[in-house]
Amino acid sequence: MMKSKNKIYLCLLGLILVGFSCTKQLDQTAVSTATKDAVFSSEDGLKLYTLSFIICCLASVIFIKRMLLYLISELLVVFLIISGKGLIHPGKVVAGVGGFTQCELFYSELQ
Amino acid sequence: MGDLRNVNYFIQNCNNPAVPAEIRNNYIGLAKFFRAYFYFDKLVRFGDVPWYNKPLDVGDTTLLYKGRDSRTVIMDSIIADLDFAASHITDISDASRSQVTKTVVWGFKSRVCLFAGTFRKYQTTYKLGSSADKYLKMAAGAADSVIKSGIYSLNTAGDQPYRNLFISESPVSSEIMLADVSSVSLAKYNDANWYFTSATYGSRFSFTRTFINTYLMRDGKPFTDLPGHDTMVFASEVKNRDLRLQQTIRMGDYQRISGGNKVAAPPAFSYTYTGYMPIKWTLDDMYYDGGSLNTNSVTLMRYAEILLNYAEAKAELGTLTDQDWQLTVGALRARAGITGGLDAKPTAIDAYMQKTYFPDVSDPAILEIRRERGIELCLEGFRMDDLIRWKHGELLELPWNGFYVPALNKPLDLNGDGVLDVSFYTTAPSSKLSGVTYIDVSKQPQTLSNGTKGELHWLDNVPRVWHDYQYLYPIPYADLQVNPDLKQNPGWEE
Repeated sequence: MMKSKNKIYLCLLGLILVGFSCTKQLDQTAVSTATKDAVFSSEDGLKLYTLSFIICCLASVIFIKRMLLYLISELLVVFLIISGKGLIHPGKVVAGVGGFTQCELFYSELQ
Repeated sequence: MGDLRNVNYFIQNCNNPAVPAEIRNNYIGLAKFFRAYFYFDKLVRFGDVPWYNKPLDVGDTTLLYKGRDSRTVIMDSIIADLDFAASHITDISDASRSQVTKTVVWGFKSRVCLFAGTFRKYQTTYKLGSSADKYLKMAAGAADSVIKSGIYSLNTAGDQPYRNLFISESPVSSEIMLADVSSVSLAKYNDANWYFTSATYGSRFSFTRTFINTYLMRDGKPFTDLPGHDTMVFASEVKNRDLRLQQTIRMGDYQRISGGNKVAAPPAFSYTYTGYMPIKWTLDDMYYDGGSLNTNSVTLMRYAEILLNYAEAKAELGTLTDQDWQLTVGALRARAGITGGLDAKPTAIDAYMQKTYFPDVSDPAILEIRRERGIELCLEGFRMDDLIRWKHGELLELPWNGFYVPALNKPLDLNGDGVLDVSFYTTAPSSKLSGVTYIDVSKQPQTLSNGTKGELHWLDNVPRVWHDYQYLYPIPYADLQVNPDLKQNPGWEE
């Protein structure tokens, strides 16, 4: 069994190592805004920025495509309701209540 | 439009000489791909839209409140962006199938150009028909670039090579070109099982019989040529069909997993209206049914689509050869276990396809390619765009029909396992068999086409009417309030 004194020494050693290993990050100055240079001056910055396009551009399209557009076809029985405006059927969307982003598939309200 | 601004901001500011020009252009290429993706979606949905190629500031009032640019300007700009992306993105392939590469750009260009070419050919009121062939040639050329890259092939591995494309956690890299990749370790899931099995969360998606009829027999002949096909019961009509049918809907010996045990899984009438219940995106284990738990990656682009884009573009141009047919539709049908009609393009019209779906099409190859797109790509996000470009929105008026019910109060065994599954009645039976689902067809919404027998019908009492102005969506009201110069699409004015 390790003596209590040795355990304390080990813990202290661990804390010192952790402290030194974090120095680089801890020494960084916090900033309230990102500069252009932080993003556009390295390939890593460009890569990180363009990765966001997957989220911002594709995510909405994926959601819409998967949950709405492809389902509204003659291959499938499905309903389209425009938010809060009542039952809408494929080919009979009410004008003026809004566009695509306000649409959602929702069957249970019919019952 | 915030997404567009994000992309434009990147393109405008990606000019730091500390990064070599080749690397900068690679990332600008990626940005332009996403701008093209963004605008293609808007073009299909709204037609004319304002084109912005730089980030706007609050002082840019002229640009902020400008009207819409024509669809020809938008399409030319999309093509310019894609050509830049194809020229400057350096990776041609990505092992994870989660990154945009040169081949993905080519694939997307084939999708965009096929839309533009066929839209201009069939949506004649726009009077853009003279430029249709230009885009069809570009579609065929871009698809050919993907094919000639030699990176992709149709997946033939496994006992269900088609369905595995949609239920695998890692994208099937032989065929999948781009995917929204799920990850258990990153807790990135989707809710496909919930959508496709829950009676309340999803929309109880059910294929219509009209569509199921298009699946060919295994010998390559139309199911609708069989005598008595229209009165076949479910368990019989699904036999000896294109193997994609059994990998798309519940039928035959399909089983699910409950608590680690395999259980028979006929179509569940607590969910389906028609009897044709999709399994294309669902995992078999019921564990995944009750939330956003699915671990299968979601396909965004795959090689099969590229083959179909190539075949359709060439058929529309009148240059499809037997060799093209073998490479594309023939290969897809071979994977589906079909043995006939693989080597040469068809020479005879299929009467069912023409009469039911496309009376204006007299080219047998185009009819068959459209059949193939419906089957191969169903539930993958293409159909509505296809109907728009083929100018067949009126197909949305087709009845929502289901499988054939030969008689009332005669329970049916749907999967041939000797266990009765469902029974239809107009007067509720005094005693009910355990394990059988009883469905009232005495009144709307669910009825039989001939009253006491016939096809299941759903919601016949609610008319569905198509008007051609509906090929375009309305401009959102909030956007018109901010910028009246956008103007509402014709037919949608209040």
